[in-house]
Amino acid sequence: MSSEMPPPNTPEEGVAATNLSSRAEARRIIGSGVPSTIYDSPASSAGGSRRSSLADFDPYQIPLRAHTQHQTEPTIDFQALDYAQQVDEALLCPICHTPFYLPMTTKTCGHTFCASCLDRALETQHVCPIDRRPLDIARDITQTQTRVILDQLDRLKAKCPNTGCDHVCSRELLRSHVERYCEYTQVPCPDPQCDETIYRKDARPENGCLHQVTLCPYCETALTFNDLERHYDQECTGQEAECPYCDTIVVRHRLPKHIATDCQEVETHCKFQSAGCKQFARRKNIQEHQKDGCVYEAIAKLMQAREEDQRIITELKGRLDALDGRTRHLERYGGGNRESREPSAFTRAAPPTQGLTAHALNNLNQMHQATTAYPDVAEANENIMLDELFETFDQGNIHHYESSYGSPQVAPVMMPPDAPPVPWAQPNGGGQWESAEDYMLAQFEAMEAKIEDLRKMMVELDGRHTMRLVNDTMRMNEQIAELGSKVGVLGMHTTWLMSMQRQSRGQQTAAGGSTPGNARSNISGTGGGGGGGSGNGGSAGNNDESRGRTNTAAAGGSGSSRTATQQGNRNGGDGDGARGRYLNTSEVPPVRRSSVARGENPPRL
Amino acid sequence: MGDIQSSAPILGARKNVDPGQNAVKRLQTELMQLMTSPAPGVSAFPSADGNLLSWRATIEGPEDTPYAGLTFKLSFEFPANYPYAPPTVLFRTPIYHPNVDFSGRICLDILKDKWTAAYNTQTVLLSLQSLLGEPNNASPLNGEAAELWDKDPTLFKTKVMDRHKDIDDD
Repeated sequence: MSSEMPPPNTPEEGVAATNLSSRAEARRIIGSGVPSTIYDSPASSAGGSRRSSLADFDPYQIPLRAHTQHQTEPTIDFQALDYAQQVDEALLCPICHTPFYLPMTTKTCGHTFCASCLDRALETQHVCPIDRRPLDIARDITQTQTRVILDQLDRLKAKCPNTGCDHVCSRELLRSHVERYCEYTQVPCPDPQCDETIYRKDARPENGCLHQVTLCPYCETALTFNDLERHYDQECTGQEAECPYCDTIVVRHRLPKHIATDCQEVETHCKFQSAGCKQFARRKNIQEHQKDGCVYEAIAKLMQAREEDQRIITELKGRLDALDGRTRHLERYGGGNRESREPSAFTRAAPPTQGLTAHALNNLNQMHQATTAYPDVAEANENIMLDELFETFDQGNIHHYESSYGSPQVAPVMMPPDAPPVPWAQPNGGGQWESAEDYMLAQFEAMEAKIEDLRKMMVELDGRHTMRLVNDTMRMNEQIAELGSKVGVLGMHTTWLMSMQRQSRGQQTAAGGSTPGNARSNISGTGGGGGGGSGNGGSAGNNDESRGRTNTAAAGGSGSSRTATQQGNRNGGDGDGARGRYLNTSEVPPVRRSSVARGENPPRL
Repeated sequence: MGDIQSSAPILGARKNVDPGQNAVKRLQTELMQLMTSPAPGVSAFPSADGNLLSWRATIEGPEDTPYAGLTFKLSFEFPANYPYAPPTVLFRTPIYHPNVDFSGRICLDILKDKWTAAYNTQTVLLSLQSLLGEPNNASPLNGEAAELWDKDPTLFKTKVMDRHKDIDDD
């Protein structure tokens, strides 16, 4: 069905599909199983020709069967149906107040009605029954095309209209039920001489015509055979019989049936007898027994479920077989491909099993060597090897199943004498494997062990890499930090020189405040704290002095801060003290000291 | 218990649909609708004789009209081709109204030429209820009432009350 779906945007979804074939297609799609007459009307089969009246269109027309030329066929009044469900109000025709049957929609105002309802309504006035808009019967009315609506209508659960039949089905299937299956449909009497109709269930050739007037055997009322059943049920007061078990009065004719199904006093089996219930008692007791819950009810349900399961299992088995066949086919196809681009031992070896296994073992061995020799690159190889192994194994497996499955001698056969030694393949010394599967399982275990080893190696390598990286980076980090500090020192020195030059040019002041300067320089030299704000202001003295001491101070700074301070003290120069403190306190970070400790060259100015 | 009672009677399937069958079917669904979702101020039910083509209905007079607080009984007679033809509706309670004559006949277009099959008992009753408050004085059955409606509402109200008389059912 899905393969037959029309492409989107075909006229079948359009408003007025006049293309006959697409309409027929659409009809087929929406109503699979619907007798085509439901959606067939002279209007649609006549293509684009206009209808002069809706009356041309007889929705109740159904095909007559060959042998019913003189009979009225069963007709279904779809508007008189009872529904087994609550129907949405939107699906009710505003005229008959029942779910739409053959809905027609007005083009001008979009109101929908049953075809027959609209037809009758338009007999008196040519206006829409809802809004009284004028309607041209030929032009303004179209069959409802909306699939959603039609589908909803088709799916409504309707009760069979035949009295006596309690069948409920989708409305779209109701016609076929009534026409073909319902036991209570009136069909022509099997006697060709007779014009009467009869229930389908009674219309058997062996019954003959049931319309001869007969006399009721009990009350001698004259009636047709067809009416006998009803007569027994409702009217007959003739010969009645007393049920030997329960004293109920029934028509003699009905006694066996009464005893078989209705009589409360007759002894009978539990209905779960087939499941093992041994209960045998009067029907009323049995009914109580069943109502209280026969213990075998569960078993009966279980058995039912089991049957269901069995059915499912059979079905799945069938599917599995089909899949197996497909897999095998695919494997062969894939194997052929591989061989064509990489001739292997498999193609050359005479006994396929041996050659195949040898090939697999070779692969394994190669892989082993590779892993031991080049642990870093082994992993990539391994994948390829595994692929190959799988493939060859599968092929080999088929052969085993066909030829020697289950034989304890399989393994020795599979271990060719000329195969290279496989160190991990003989854990039991003799290589005595129970079956091919065991052997291959052992192989896989060995492979797994190898993979595990590889994994460990990789982890180790990774660790080593990380360590090396960390070590290198640390060293470089230190150097970078050192360089940074040196640059800082250089920058400060430059600043200091610049300020010195400015001072020597522009300022000729006397030295002053030497004692506090000294004291402060001592403190800061040893403690490393203190404020350096007064350093520049405090630096004084003549050009010669300051120049000569610049070198000294710088050298002292690089040697040790203590030296610079001592020098400053010893010289007794105010500028010296200020300078020394300046260098030591604010410009020499601990990093610098560490570099000094390593004995590197002092910065040059 | 007994066999005779338990078996369902088996009758012949419907051969020819009675022309009134569709009307009855439709009236059954209408009745169901009236029972499940009644409209305020109106009610309807088949008459006691069991004939589904004959109904009794009541309308309560709308507020802010001369008929407020009054209840009117009506009779509906449905034709066999209902809903394609309108029901015959009569006021059984005497009523003083421009569009209702003294025998209870009603002049309302939707009960005559404007009838469409989409109308139902409930819509007719609601239309009649609104007719009480908004008479069509252009085509009166009761000319005096039509005149008084505009000229003398007080007198109109008095006449309404004079005319109104509760009646027994059937």
